[in-house]
Amino acid sequence: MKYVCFLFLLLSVSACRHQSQAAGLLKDAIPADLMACQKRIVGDLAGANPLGNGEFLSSRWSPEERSAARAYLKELIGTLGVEAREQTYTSPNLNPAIDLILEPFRGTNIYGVLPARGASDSYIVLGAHYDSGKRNAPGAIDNATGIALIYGVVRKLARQPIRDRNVVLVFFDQEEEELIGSKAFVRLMKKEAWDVHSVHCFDMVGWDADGDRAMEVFSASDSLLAAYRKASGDLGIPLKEIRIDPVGYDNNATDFDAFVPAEYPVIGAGECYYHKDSTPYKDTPGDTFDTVDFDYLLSCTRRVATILKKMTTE
Amino acid sequence: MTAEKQRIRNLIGDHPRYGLVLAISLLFFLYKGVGYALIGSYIPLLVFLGVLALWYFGLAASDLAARRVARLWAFVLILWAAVRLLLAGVNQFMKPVPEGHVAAQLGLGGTLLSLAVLFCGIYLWKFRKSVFQ
Repeated sequence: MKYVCFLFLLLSVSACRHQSQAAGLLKDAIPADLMACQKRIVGDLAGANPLGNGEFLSSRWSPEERSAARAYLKELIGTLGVEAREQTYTSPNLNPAIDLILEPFRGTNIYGVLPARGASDSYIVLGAHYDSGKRNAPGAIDNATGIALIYGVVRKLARQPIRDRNVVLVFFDQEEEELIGSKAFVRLMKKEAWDVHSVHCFDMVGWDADGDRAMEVFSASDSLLAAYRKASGDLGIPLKEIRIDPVGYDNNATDFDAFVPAEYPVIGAGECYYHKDSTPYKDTPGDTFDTVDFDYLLSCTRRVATILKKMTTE
Repeated sequence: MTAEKQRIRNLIGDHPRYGLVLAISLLFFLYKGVGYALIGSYIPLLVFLGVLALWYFGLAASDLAARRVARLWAFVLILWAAVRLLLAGVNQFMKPVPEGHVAAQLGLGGTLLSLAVLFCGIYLWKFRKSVFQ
């Protein structure tokens, strides 16, 4: 009996052991060139490059992997001169009966606020999820590309001499598990009572097999669709629009869907998933750095930066 | 002294180990129930309150009723642990679950918790007759 108790205690201690997070996951300075910068971020997050502690992020699926990704993202946000904040949340399971058997969802969103140059109560939210869909899926396109796009856009906005709105960048946890992270962030936005001008969600921005540079957007907001349409027209790049009906909207596919029922002006953007020009490697070990079309990512980043520059100054 | 108080006194005084295992099992599910209630899910707390009410009325009624409640509670604990252990087995040896937060609960820590609850259930089942004679 004593041996059984000892073994139980030993296993318990082993099970409770947490992986220590080494400081300094960002190995070197982020390159100044935008494409090199995005290659670096996607490479770091998708396991193509070693992190500062010598380890590779082969996936962002398990709690330990997501924890390492968070530590990296906090450092990354810090390089923008923005203080990285954590929103830790606990959410019940989707089926109440499961609550009797399993523990609730626990996760952490990472966000930061790039303040307006002057006093402003208006906020623009840019969001992308950082978890990957399945175990051993590196999640290069889904969704390290979304993170790299937001980083590139915010870096441009940070250098703007005029910025009349606050810009929130947020990296959601647990998008792949029924949008738990973005739904938690909606609660935070309501609690903070931000005057939200618009929410822009980016998911999968790295595949362009037909080479048309088209970006797909979906929204219920005429003004947001018009802003993306105008910028695309000015740049001479195609835009594929999907207008959604917010009444009775009940999708759970991407973070965009969490903001529609909350009645925020929101637009979702990415590669042409619904128009059938999207990575075939989603949620597989094949979603690697090598499959990312960085010219396409850069093109989308510039387009979104153009739109956001206008929105933050108008 | 009422029969109910006498039975509780016997449980704590004459069978402290049984009382301790019972208290631990109830406190564990109370903790879960309150935790879920705080985040807006009330089913676990309602189920716990139902079990608590059964214990109250069982102890108040008779030794036979208390024994039946002990049997029911032990069965619930064994079932709870068995479902989790089955999920852990499937996750480990047959088909890994795709959800990260579920898989994380079915690892070593989760399995130890399930085993602990299983032992509580078996203990409460095995000694119920000698406690509530």
